Amino acid sequence: MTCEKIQENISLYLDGILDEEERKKLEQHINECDQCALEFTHMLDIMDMLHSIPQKDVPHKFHKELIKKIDQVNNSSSDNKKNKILRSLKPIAAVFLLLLFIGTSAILILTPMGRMSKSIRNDSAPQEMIESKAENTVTSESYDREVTFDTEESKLSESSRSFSEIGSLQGQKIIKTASLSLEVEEFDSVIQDIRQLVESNGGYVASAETYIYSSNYEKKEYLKEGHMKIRIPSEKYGTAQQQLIEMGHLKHQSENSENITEQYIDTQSRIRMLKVQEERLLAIMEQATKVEDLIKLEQRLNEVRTDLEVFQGRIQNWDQLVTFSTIEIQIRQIKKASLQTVSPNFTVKMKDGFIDSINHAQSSIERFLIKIARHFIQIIFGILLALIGIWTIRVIYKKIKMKGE
Amino acid sequence: MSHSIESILIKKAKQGNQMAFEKLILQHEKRVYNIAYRMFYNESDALDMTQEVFLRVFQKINQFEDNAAFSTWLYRITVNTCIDEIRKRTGKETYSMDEPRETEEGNMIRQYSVTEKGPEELYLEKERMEALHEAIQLLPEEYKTVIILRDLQNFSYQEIADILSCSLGTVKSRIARGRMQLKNILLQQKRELFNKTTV
Repeated sequence: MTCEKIQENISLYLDGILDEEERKKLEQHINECDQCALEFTHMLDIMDMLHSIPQKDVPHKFHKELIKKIDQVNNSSSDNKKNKILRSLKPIAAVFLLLLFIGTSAILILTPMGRMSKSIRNDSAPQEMIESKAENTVTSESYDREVTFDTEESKLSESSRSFSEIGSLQGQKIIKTASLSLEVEEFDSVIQDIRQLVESNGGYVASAETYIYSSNYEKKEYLKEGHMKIRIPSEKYGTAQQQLIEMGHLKHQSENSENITEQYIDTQSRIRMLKVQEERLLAIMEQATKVEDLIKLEQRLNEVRTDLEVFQGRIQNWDQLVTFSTIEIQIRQIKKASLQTVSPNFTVKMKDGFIDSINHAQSSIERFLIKIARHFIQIIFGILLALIGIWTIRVIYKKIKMKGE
Repeated sequence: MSHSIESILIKKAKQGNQMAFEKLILQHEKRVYNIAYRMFYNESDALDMTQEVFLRVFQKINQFEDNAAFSTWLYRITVNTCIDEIRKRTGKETYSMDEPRETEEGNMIRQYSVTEKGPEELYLEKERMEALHEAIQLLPEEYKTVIILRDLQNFSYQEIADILSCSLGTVKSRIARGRMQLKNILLQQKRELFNKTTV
């Protein structure tokens, strides 16, 4: 075996991957050849140096910046996807609308108006009855099935919950707080309602306080005022707030949301760092023999652990604040008479608005139908044009598709 | 990290779960950074490269096939990204295997000897390490890669073969030749540093 080959094998020998035969040859050769022995010491020395090169720590900021960057890339790509979907949906939507328009106008023209509205009225009522009957039979007939439905539903809600959790973990750590001030007539029942609402939404009452602010001994009238702080799961924050507002007459409302994502990620990475430090210290402690060293290490370990606890506590607190939104409610009881003078509250307004909109829609539909009847001939002509339009769009679409392929 | 957790994280990451992706890459961050650092011997380049690697991994995670090891795949991307960048910078030049590249080495060493006033051995040691770092930089990229993976990152021969998608024999010969060339560079250019201690 040549010296050159031997020298090449030295490094494999040092890694312990030479086979038995070659290893023996090499050992023998080095015992005999001074030049190769020198090469061997050189190689040993260099590998020793290579192995002593320390690993560099990744700068603290790096991880945060990387996550930000990934966020950007992720968002821009999903935006593109959305846009693409939207773009592809546009022509479909246009065709759909056209078809809908043509279909309804055709039906309206072909059926005399009076008869049609009547038939709709006649049809709708029994249909509803049939539907409700069908529901009843399903529920009464197969209990097992209902149970499976239930579990499926709970699975669904579970998955949706975990999804929202991930959502809040991904980009947004938001602490939401709101404060409401309500005037109510029946103080005690409203308090009861609020407690029920909180319970049904899976939240809890953090604090509550009630006192009498005005009393009239002669009439035996006591007016109460109360203050409540409730915590509601953040996904139900909006609906719960709406329900609360409907319980009385809203005097004041304010909302506040604080985004703590950055601090959160920061703290998380600090915890990671501290944990690594803790492990390292423990490893060193195991090897330490001097009492002095041990005491110093113990001190340092204590410091690290206290920091760790502080940060972990902070994370826990944040998690709590993020998953449970806070709503503070100020409730004030007022005399019955005074409530009547107050303008109608939200629900009443909603109802009125709803009725108005239905009336409005009805009259405009009527006007629309009359107009259609007047322009009968023109509409038929329009339909023909539209059909030609659809046909041409189809032809063009096919051509584009052919080209694409 | 056990395989089952890793595969769950990969699955989640493929579905676009960023948290899972973060968990997945966290343990590899330091190693990727260190490979990049040794490839460029420059902190800011190494950081840029590391970021680029993870962005690539994030974008390509859907192309990752479950039967392969994630770490192998990740380090393959690392090596390829670094080599791509090195080639981009040096143009289409190729280097002969026997001749070391010409660079302006030596500046750092002089700086040290001016500023540092430590004991003799200490800065001799420092100079030797500095010489070693520079010698690594002088290696052609295919030797540099295997030396970094084997001697600085402690990958096994088989792992390196997987990462570079080449045969075990190729890895063996590249490591052996790479080390020999490294030794030659050090002995030729820095003889005075090594004569004192090793020869």
